[in-house]
Parts: sequence; structure tokens; C-alpha cells
Amino acid sequence: MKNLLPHQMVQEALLLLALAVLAAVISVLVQGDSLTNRFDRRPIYYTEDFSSSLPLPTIAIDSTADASAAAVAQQLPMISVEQLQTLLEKQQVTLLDARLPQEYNSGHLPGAINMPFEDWDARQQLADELPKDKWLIAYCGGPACDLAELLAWELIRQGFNQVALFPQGTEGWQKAGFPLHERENSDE
Amino acid sequence: MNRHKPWVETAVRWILALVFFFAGVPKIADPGTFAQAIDNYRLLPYFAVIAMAIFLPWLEVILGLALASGRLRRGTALLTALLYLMFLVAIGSAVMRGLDIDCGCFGTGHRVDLWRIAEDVLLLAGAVWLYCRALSDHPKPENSQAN
Repeated sequence: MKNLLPHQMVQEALLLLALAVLAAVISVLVQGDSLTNRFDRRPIYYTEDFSSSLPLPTIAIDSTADASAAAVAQQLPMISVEQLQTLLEKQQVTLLDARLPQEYNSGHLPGAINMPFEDWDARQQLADELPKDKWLIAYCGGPACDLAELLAWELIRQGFNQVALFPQGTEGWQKAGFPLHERENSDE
Repeated sequence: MNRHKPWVETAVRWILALVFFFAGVPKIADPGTFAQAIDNYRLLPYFAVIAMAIFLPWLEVILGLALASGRLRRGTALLTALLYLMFLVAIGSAVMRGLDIDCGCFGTGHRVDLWRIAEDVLLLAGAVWLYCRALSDHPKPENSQAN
């Protein structure tokens, strides 16, 4: 092991690391505004930086959809657990699970279709098949997860105008006492 | 091992140096975007993502400078090899998990895929070669010095 990592090599490596740390610290001090302000944990969609070209949604909540808890203009309509339950009973919405297939398979909301935000091909294929006359409700793991929101914006960008968000996700659904479904066939 | 033309080593060093420059400078200019790219891999907690986003670009640029100048070549070879190994693991894990994300290699616009892995393997090979060169150049302890 000593032969693979001679003393001088390690010393030089440590010196380089120290230089990099020093440069990084100085850059943070010089830049002033915190990086955390500019980093909001939104995944980068590889084809383009869509965050700069988001269409401003002009969604007015359809009263027939009974999703009355819309956020203010220029925000995604958001629905609560109770509203979602009502909508599901009336079969007025299509639920979209924005997580990866493994996560979807381990437990998802009843009737949800897996539309992983991070899988471009699967997403595109599904987008062509989604109904345009129904509300699309995107969700993911919970309030801390932003995949659903990103998926919702992407759908709006693609021309769907009845898109809403269920921010509580699977976490909120379970907390409300409802079960998750496992490995449901989502081909239809 | 030492019997090869010195320009080969210089060429490898310069290629790796240029790659580090082109990779590091855009990230220093926009650490927020780089932080998002790191976060996309879903491998690190928030704090570590921020730390890496600030530190890693500077390490790349400093290694680029060291590679180009030929200074601290042993430590540079070691860190370069380790860094490319780390990139390879990260990109490989993203591909295996089916993540369709930006690799964060040179700013944005480079999707994680098998090409990125191939590219990384090539650069890693160059870095490992430099590391082996640095090892072979290293003065042997006592007994070998007797001659």
C-alpha cells in the first residue's frame, strides 16, 4: 500500500486539496450571496433549461373538477387529500406519479399512472396518450419532493391546461390513513 | 517504464488539463446550476451537495493548472485518477438507476449516458497512466538508492 501511495505523493495531494479548499472559501466570501439561495433542488431537465422559458399558466380551476383550493395566479393549482379523494371517487382526474418506476412499484396512489419526470422517453410516450379533457394531478413522495411540480410544469409547457399538483404526495396520502397500491398495472 | 518519449506524457497532461479547465470554469461561474446537477444524482445530502458544488470546480481548475505546469505531478496524478474514478462511479450509478439527467460535466447540456461513461473511462485511463508514471519516477527507498 505504501508503494502505491508514497509519502510525497500524499503530501502533494493534500497540498492541492488545501489550495482548492482555500480557493473555494475565498470564492464564497467574495461572491457574497449564498449559493443556497440560487440552488432550489430543481432537477435539470437535460434538453433545455425550461425554468427560464416556463409559460405562465393561465389555469382557472374548473368548478366541475371540484378542485377549489387553487393557488393564486401564476402558481400551480394545488389540491388537498380530501379534494383528491373526492375527485378520484368521481373519476374526474388522471393521477400521475412523477417518481421513478422502482418507487412507483413500491407503493403508489390508487389508479395512478407512472410518469417518471426523470425518464424523458417514458414521459414523452405517456404524454401523447394522456387525456386532454381530464384534470391531470401530479404527485411524488411528499412535500419535500419536487418531481411532481416539475412534471406539472412540463405538462403545461406541452399544452395541457388542466394540470394540478397534489403536494402531499404518497406521504400525505398515507398520513391521512389511505393505503398505497403496489405494482398496479398502469398500461392502460 | 520510463523509456518513452516525454511528449506523450506532456500531451496526456495537457489533454487532462484542458478538460479540467473546460469543466471547472463554467461551474465556478454558476455554482447553483452545478449544485443542481450534483443533486440530480441523488447520492448526496443537501449539505454535501452545496460543499461539493463550491469545492469541486476549484479542485478541477487547480488540478488543470498543476497538470499544465507539471508542478506537484505526483499528487496531481493521484487526485486526477481519484477524481475521474469518482465521476465514473457517479455517472455509472446514474445510468444503472435509469436516471435521465444532465451529467454536470461541462456546464449543462450533456446527458448522462454510455458515451459519458466511455469518455470518462478514457480520461481515467490517462490519469491512471500518469499515476503509474509518477509512481515509477518516485525515488525508491534506501536499498534501491545504493546503486
